[in-house]
Amino acid sequence: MTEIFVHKGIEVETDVPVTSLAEDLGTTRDLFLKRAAIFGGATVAAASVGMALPGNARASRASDAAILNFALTLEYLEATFYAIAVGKGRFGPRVSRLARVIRDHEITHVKALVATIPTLGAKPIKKPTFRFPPSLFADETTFLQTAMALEDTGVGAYNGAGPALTLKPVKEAAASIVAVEAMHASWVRGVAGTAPAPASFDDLLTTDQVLAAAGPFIA
Amino acid sequence: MTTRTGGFMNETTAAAQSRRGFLGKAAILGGGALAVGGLGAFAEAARAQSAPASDLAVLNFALKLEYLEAEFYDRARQGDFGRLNAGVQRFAEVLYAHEQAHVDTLIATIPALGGNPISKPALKFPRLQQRSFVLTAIQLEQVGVGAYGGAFPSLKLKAVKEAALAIHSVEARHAAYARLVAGTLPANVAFFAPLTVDQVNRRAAPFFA
Repeated sequence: MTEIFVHKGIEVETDVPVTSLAEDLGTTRDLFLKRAAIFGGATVAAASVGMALPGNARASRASDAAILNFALTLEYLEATFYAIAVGKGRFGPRVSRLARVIRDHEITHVKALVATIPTLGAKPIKKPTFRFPPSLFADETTFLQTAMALEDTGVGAYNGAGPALTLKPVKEAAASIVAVEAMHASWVRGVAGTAPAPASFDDLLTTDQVLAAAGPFIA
Repeated sequence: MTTRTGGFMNETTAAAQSRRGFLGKAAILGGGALAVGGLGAFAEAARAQSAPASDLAVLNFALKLEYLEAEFYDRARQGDFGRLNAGVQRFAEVLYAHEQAHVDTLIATIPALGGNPISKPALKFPRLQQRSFVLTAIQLEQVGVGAYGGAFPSLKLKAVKEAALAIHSVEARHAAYARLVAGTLPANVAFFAPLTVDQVNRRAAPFFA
């Protein structure tokens, strides 16, 4: 099914299906409710999820949701960057395809996170306003260099946040996304003519490091 | 704007500088210090901690796969799978170096956490030549990504989680690199599904003697 993703007035078609991550998390939520009922003695039937959970489970959910919202900022950033590249870039077929495929993946990540965060009892952040100088899309080299920095930062961001995650389905989701971000990074690097896998260990970035790298693009 | 210094092995000046910047900060902040030292750094981070048996089992399971990958690329780079063109030879050299670094790191880390690293298992490889080598590399790397991704949610100790994540995304880079070399789409799904231990074992079984 083709869906339309709108950013800055540019409509982008994507044929990537929205994931069932949210459904997985829904199942987990039900499990939590059952556990809460059994172990916590909470009344499940009437209350909202958050109310029914023991305090530490609620804290876990809130903390995981905060991390996912941080990830959502980066996914919005990437999705917008590639959508502009697809709309405005004058690239050869190899780079055009890269931009199109990665855009679709990032849009799918955005949708998955937007659908998932509410299942943790939190509100997904609104899409931030981004500023990407038109010069970033003026030629393939500049575009690829920027894409490389964004993807490497994305990998480091998920890696850095990973150890703090508490809920199993959120950990699984993060792992399944960071693997794809790393594949993007490798792909972009390869097309740019630089080492796809430059080190035997990837970095684990702190929030501050991620913001330092991504901040210039956030208005 | 920076100019390319040429070739996969060389990073552009900008990328290298920004990378050094990250690493420098990481060393100061402690966040990514693991990546700086590579070998020994995980062991250092793990020192004076004792990992739960389940974490040690995961690390030994990972070590088994890393032994497999390291030998696979070692054979490739030494010509066991026939003549490789320059790009594929470079691919084999780079991946051998990384997988061997993973092996060395795990061997150093497991005892630091109170465990015993497994010894190298007996391995067997089918007859391969350049094309089938690269296709097999895709399979092996994807098993590696799925294995680390599948194991991560069960890990308990922070230092072990950090090590697993730092390796997991490198395996994913390898998988995309192999796909790039094979001329197929480097990232073909938006989510890369983690594998269970059973799934990993089934997929890797043909390589263990």
